[in-house]
Amino acid sequence: MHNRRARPTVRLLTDDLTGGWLSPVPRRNLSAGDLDALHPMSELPHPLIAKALDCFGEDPERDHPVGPIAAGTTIRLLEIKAGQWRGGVWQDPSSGVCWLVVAGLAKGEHLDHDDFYQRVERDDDPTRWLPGPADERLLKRETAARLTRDWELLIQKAMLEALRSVATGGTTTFRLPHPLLTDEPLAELTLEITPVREPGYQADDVGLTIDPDPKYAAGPLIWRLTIRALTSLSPPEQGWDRYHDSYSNIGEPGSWATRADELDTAVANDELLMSEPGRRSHYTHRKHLVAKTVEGRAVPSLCGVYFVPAQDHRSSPVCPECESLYNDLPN
Amino acid sequence: MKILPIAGVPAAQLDALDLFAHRDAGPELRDILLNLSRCARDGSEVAVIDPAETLTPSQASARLGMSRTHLYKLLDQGAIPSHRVGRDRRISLRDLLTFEEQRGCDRAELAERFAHQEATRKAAIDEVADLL
Repeated sequence: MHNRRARPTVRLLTDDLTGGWLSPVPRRNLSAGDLDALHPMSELPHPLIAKALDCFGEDPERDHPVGPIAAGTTIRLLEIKAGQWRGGVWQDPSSGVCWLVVAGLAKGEHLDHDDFYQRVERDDDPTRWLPGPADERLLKRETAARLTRDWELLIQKAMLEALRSVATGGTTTFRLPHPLLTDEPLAELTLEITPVREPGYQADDVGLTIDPDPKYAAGPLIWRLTIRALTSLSPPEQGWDRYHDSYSNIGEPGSWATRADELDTAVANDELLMSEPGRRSHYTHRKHLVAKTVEGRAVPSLCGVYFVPAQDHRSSPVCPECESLYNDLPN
Repeated sequence: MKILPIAGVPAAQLDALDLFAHRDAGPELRDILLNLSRCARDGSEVAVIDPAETLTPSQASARLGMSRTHLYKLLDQGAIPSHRVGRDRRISLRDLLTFEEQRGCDRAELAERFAHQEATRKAAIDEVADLL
């Protein structure tokens, strides 16, 4: 489940790696308490951390520490070296994850009081070096981020398959799992494409219904799933209409097959597509506008789209529909 | 449908209305009058609709900005109530306005979710992390 490759503990970053950093940014994030900004811990810019990663990577068969630290006492430490830096790596027996738990400089022929080996030998409670709750939390978040990303790639792929099967018209229904509890269904999706040929309206309508498992309804996972599913079908955010759990959009006749090809490229490259916010500035009612801008709430425009007001609207071209509707208003 | 120009009513007159509503009006009338007064202060509009006013599917779909095919789907699903007149259907303006209002809320929520998708992503990661 967790990636086993070597990672430092927060204590080590704060207390032991007092120098030798290739960038001041991680230590700044640390003192600001912004631990999430350190991710991924295994790749922090310090030669000893890089060495730990090199010695303890994804494949346990290729581990190559210097050897067990002779002075290591109650906990089993494996030694790594990078320049003058020395470090001790501990492997969690239950998870298999490798932790860089102690580090220091090799000094003065190892007779110096501050010398790494002296410190390790002297310490009467090495268990305090072991990963604590903050470390476990960071590890879980990294793993969760990886699992969530893999899950979004899966959703993107499922949308591609569904789109391919109904691009010229038809309905298909499929289920999507929870990112971790893969036996649990998160939601059932129904994709329908309807070619519409009416006088003055030639388009292929698309409708997506997302029926969530009640346990997860309106939660962040369902919303992530929704955003991912809609973006896979059509990235422009303002093109999507919604009523309850049904989302609808319009495409030129035959365009959904083309869209499937575009999506195919992204899926083949394991690339998660980004949604596209609106690029025009719209007219909206002044009422409550300031409050809604501050709160990040959506407002309706004159032409009918809903959007969250941004500060830099003046740099975008004005929506022509809004402008013409505004000019048609009395007084 | 008619729009009442209540935005132009001066605050002093609204105060007088509130006073009357609190002092002299019966409870049902008081609620309506206070609602009206609040709308006027908010800058909202008051629309008056004829309860008997109906639209054809063509008119409704034009107003909602969708194809007739899509509208018929909504009618079939019962998302918008309708009744039969001969071979076709009619939709009451009131039902249409109710639908529009709900759709507005739903669209607004979607716009917000798109805008704040990073925050939603972090919340989703936290939810998964808690299960590990």
